[in-house]
Amino acid sequence: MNLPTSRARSDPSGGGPRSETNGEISTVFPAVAPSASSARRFVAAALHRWGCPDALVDLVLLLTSELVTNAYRHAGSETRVSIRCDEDRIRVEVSDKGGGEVQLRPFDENRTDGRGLQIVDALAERWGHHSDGAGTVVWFELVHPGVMAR
Amino acid sequence: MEPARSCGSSSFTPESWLGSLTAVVSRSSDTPAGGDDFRISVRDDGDAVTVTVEGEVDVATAPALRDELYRLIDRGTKRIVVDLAGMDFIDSTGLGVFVGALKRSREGGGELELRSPKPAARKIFDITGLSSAFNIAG
Repeated sequence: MNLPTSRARSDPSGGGPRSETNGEISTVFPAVAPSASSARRFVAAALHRWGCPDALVDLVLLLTSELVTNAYRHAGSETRVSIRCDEDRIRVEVSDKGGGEVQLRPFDENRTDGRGLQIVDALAERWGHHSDGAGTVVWFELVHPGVMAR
Repeated sequence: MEPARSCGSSSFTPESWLGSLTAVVSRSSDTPAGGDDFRISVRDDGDAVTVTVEGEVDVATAPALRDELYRLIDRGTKRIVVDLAGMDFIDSTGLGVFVGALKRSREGGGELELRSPKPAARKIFDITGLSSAFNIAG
C-alpha cells in the first residue's frame, strides 16, 4: 500500500530513514543482530502511538522479532519492517534482499533452531511470504482485540 | 489520530542478592535510554548453581547466555537452576539456547531447571511443545 507520506525523519533508535502515514509506517534496519531489538522498539512505539492494547503489542513484538531474526540469519541483508494498523487488524511485513526459502519445520524438541516460524504459525491470524523481485517478503496479520485470549 | 500513550517498558532495580553474586555477565542493548539491558548473574549455592536472567533474550543477547550456561555445564556443574522471573522477552533464538543447554547438561549427567518464567514466556514454551521437555518450576 503506497499512501503519501505525512512526514519523514531519521529514526533516533537506530533504524534508517522512515516514513509514516496515519496507521502505516516502515523503516530499514541494518544486517546486525541488534536490529531485532531495534525493530521491536520501532514497532512498539508505533503501536503505542496508535493506541494498541499492551497484550496485542507484546504479540506483535514477538512475531516481528522472529521475522527480523530470520532475515538477519538467512539473508544477511538490511531488512525493511513495515507495520500497518487498520480498524480490525495489524499487518507487519519484513522484507530482505535474500532469495531464501521460507520453511515451516515440524516440531522437534531436540533442535536448537527452526522454531521462529512455528511461533508465527501458532500465533498469527494469517501469515505468508512471497518474492518481490528484490528479495523475500514475509508477513503476518493479527486481528484485534482478543487475540491473546484464544 | 494518535492517542498519547507511554511505551511503558519495564525496568528492574538492583536487589539485595547482588551481594552474593559470584559472577555477573552483562551486555548493554542498543537502546540509548537504557532500562532494557540484558544481564546474567550466577550464584553458587553449593548443591546448585542459580543463573538469573534479566532483560531480553534474542539473537543479539542469546550468545552470552549460551556461553555462560555451557561454561557451567562444561566445568561439571550437575544442577543448574535458571531463574527467569526477570526475563522480559524471549523468542525462538532464546528457546534454542535452553534446548542446547538442556541437551548438553543431560549428556553430562546433569540437570537444568527453569524457574518462574513470566506468563508470556511460559506461553512460548507451551506453543513450541517444549514445556514437557523442560523441568519448569513456578
